[in-house]
Amino acid sequence: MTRLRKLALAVVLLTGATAASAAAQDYSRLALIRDDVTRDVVRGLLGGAFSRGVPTEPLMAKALEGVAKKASTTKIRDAMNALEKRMRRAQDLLGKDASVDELAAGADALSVGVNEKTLARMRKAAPRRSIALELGVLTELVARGVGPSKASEMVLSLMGRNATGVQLTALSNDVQGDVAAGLNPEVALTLRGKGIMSLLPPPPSANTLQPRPK
Amino acid sequence: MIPRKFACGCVVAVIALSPARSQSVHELRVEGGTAQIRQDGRTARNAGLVSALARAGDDHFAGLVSGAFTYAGDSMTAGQAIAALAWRPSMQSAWQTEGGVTGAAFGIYQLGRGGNVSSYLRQRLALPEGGFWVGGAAGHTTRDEISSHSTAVDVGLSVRLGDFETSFSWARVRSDDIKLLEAAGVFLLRDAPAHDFDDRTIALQYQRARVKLDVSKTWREGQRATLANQSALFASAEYTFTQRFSAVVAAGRQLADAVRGVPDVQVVSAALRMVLVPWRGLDEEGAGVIAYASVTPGAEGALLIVKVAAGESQRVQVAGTFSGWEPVPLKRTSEGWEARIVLGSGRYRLGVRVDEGPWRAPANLGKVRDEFGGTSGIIVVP
Repeated sequence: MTRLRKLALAVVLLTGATAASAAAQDYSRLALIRDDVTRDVVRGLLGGAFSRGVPTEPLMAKALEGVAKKASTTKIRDAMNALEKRMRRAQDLLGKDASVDELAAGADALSVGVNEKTLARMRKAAPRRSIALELGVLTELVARGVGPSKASEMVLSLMGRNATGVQLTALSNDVQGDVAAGLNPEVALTLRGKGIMSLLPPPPSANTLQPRPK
Repeated sequence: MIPRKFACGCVVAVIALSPARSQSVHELRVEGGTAQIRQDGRTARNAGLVSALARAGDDHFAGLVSGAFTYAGDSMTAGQAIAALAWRPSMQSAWQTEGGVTGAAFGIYQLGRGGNVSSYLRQRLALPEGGFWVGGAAGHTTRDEISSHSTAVDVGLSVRLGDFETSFSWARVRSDDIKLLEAAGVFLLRDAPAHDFDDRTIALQYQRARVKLDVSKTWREGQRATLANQSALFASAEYTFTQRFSAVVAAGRQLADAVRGVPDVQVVSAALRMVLVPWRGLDEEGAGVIAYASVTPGAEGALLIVKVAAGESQRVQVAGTFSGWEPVPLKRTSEGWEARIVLGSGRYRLGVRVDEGPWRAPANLGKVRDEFGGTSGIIVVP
């Protein structure tokens, strides 16, 4: 076995061990579910997701949310199934190397009505770094009343100009303040977005983006 | 006759002054009840009382106005109004400045011979674990066309442990309201222009779920030419039936308050409290919960501050993906209910609930359907 193959095997084993460790952590949280029937259903769903290569952490969080909200076992099962489906779709759109955070954020974005193509465009715009924050801000903007297409265009434009995470979250917070003051969400987004754009350098000519400045 | 008039003012103070210590966002409530008032050497008297209180606030200011009216069968009546304002430099600041004015009329129906105006200013440090304050007050009382003046300075500190909060305070009072104080058993040993005395108070509050209990003990000691050696124990209990209705019962002795012209009396009272606003909360499901969340970015992660306007006797919790949806209790502050949670970078969902009710998204956050029939608020920390 060549040195390169040994290294590749070690990476695979380490990755597998990390995933198994995360799954084990989620299984240990099953004890927080007191109802036996619900716990068994959740355990089964986590096992199925794990075997399909879907991260279990967001699913466990969804189950605990359902328990906290006193949802029935059926509703918890349906919610977990729906989330797993969205995460698998997000994985298709964001690539196999997408992180757990990205998949969960992508699933959230899909749940509020963001177009699937947007996820693919965002990945294309930033293929070498996490876009979980951008997806989170996009979801937040839609949740605040901005139309999914309008919010998507703005986030993509800002990504194209290498906007920082702080700038993106500030945009969302500013829109929130404007909406609370009575402004139309999309008008608020346009105004605030222009404000941030004016602070950013011109878009790079290259197809791919530079690493986001700290 | 004068002590009779004083008695009515006392009951008004019991009902109306207690909420002035706290401000929350947009509330209007009314109270109605009955009381039995007794002074040393006099027959106990029955009285009816009604009051209304409104308060509103934002990130920097909180205001309160209230009015109360007391009626006894032989036309002994009293009216009182309070206006108070609190200010803080920022939403995250634990420091706040409070000030207010109170006005009262004694015997306004028939006897019509007295009134009081007082004001106060206080600087307060309000932390989730307790606080500290220093302040001063001044009052002017006119009774039977004789004017008197009183001043007071006070300092105090409070400590909160779980469901208990205890406070210790000291006040130095100077007053030339001779009639009021002599009726209360406070005398001058020699010729002097005014009474001087110290009040030391220890108060204990217990609050859990629908029940709130308050007990306070005050010791009064004369200074300089004043002879006073008194103590008073006062207790009250509030039970919240629903978000709309609660009942308050109180009993004990209240020492004369020269600054506000209130006499020394023993009181037993019972009142029903009804919250008119918020009739519906800002939340779309109309849960009656007004919650706000703010995120202040820091060097690493951010500080999430959740504030909820809910009754003092209610139990308020926040939960979210940051806690694995384990409920985190909010703590009672001078401004309502509050939780401060340090978050790392990431995306979070959260909700708040009152008295084990449904989880709701804070009003100012973006909301997403939670697939369980409700909503969650979402935040993103860079």
